Amino acid sequence: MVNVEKSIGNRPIKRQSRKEMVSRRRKALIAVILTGIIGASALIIPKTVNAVSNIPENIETMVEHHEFVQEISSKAYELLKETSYVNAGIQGYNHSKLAQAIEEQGDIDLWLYGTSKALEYYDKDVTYNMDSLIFQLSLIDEEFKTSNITSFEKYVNSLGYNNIEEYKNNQANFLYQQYNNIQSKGVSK
Amino acid sequence: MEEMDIVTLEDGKDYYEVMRINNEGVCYIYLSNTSNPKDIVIRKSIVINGEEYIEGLKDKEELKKAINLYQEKNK
Repeated sequence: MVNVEKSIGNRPIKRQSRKEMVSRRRKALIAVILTGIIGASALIIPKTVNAVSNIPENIETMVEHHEFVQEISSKAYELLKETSYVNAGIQGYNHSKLAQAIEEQGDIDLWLYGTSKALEYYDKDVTYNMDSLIFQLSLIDEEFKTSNITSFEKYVNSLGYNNIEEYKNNQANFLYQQYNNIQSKGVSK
Repeated sequence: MEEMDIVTLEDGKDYYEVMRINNEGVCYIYLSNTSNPKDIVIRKSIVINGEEYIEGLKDKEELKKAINLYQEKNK
């Protein structure tokens, strides 16, 4: 994520700089990581900032909520990682570097963005599925932000699930479907 | 090998200047921590009495704008 605290509201400081020689590979890697993180931030930052400012009294609930989203993201990562690397390899030089960056950094946000970018070049149906996945994750944030519900369990109930476990299973099933779609269409092409 | 500018922010940490984007008279600077490339900071450049300063963005709306500008440029 872009560091919001360090980016907003800081007083001007005199620019003190020096030059350093870096390898072309390292320079490219820095740029790729930056692009990935900014791409992920574009999806997440406005919602996160709004959510925090809208319901500051519900910090514990927010933490619980974000832990849940992280868990879902982790499941997405585990389910789709292999396909991501395969597609990245197929896409050639730039995306191979992206895959390498993801491998080195192990960053889920970066992975989600990188995967969606790789798939954009690959198959519109698959891209649609990946977009659905990312949309689904962002929707969780959006729904929660506007729900004004102080308990995560109640929030899950309001979506029609009996408990958090049922909600998690539903999300896991959704992710597994995406995995199957991408696996069958993406790799065989 | 290629040359990169490194700037030091008020936290004492060094950042690579990865990119600058000019938009409507404002120059946004995209910075990457030299020891942790996942630590990304966006600032803007201002010139006071002929010297360059780096200042924070005004609010989250400006941050959103800077993010969108970067994405547009790197499509």
